[in-house]
Amino acid sequence: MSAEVQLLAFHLDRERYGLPLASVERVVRIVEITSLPKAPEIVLGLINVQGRVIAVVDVRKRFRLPQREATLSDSLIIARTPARAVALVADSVTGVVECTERETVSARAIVPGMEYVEGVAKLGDGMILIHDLGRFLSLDEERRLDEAIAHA
Amino acid sequence: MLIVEDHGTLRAALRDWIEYLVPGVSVRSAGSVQEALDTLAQAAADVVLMDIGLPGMSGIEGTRLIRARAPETPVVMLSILDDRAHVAEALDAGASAFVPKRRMRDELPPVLRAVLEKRSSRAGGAVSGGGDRP
Repeated sequence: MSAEVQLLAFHLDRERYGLPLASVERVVRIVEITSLPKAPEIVLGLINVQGRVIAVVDVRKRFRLPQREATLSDSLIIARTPARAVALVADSVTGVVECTERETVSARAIVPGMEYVEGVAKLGDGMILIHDLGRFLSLDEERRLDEAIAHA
Repeated sequence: MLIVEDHGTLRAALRDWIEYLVPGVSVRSAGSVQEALDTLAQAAADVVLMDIGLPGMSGIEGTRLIRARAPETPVVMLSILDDRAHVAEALDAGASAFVPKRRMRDELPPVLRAVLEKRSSRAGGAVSGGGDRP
């Protein structure tokens, strides 16, 4: 029997993406994002959630979606990469979905050029791209982000 | 060439890959069967790459419509689902080949080459590709 995979599903524009539920800490309403000079381009800024400073990363840029300003209806998904907690701005969070490992396909088997996607899963009502948080920031971006935060 | 795929990120990656595989090719894309039909009404395509699971009308039905309107246009079906029933349904709808997404990176390039060669030589018939042919 194929193991169940639990994903937190969210939308960016019309597209649906998922994060492995185990990597998600919490979802909060959008808060003010403070710019972070000298941070890598992929970092939108910093947020303060209950005294904790977390970098907000630009998931739209990684997925090659049109850029837009954050709005009050957006949500922030706080999740853990291997190196740090990060926040992702999502248009909406639709909840937890489950699929079996048999229903998921490795992105690398499908098409080259989707480094930030771990896999694709077929759900009853469409497809979901599973976000690979481990590859979200390159080593160089991690280093530059550390330096920018240290100088903030 | 026309790519019919509903997920924008996958569509963009597929488009880049096809442009790399077939240098100089003109690639258009659509997110639904209706959008594909509208695009094809403006100009024909050498090949259509069609996902099965699309919002609204399925890629199977879309393939039937395209083949009925433009029998000379080969359609290559792509799907995460690769059981015999889906492969049979795709070929029955008139698809020239079926490539399972879980093996697409390895199997699409030779299938695409074969379909384009057949197209340029104006030969008919189905092209063996990827999926388990019934």
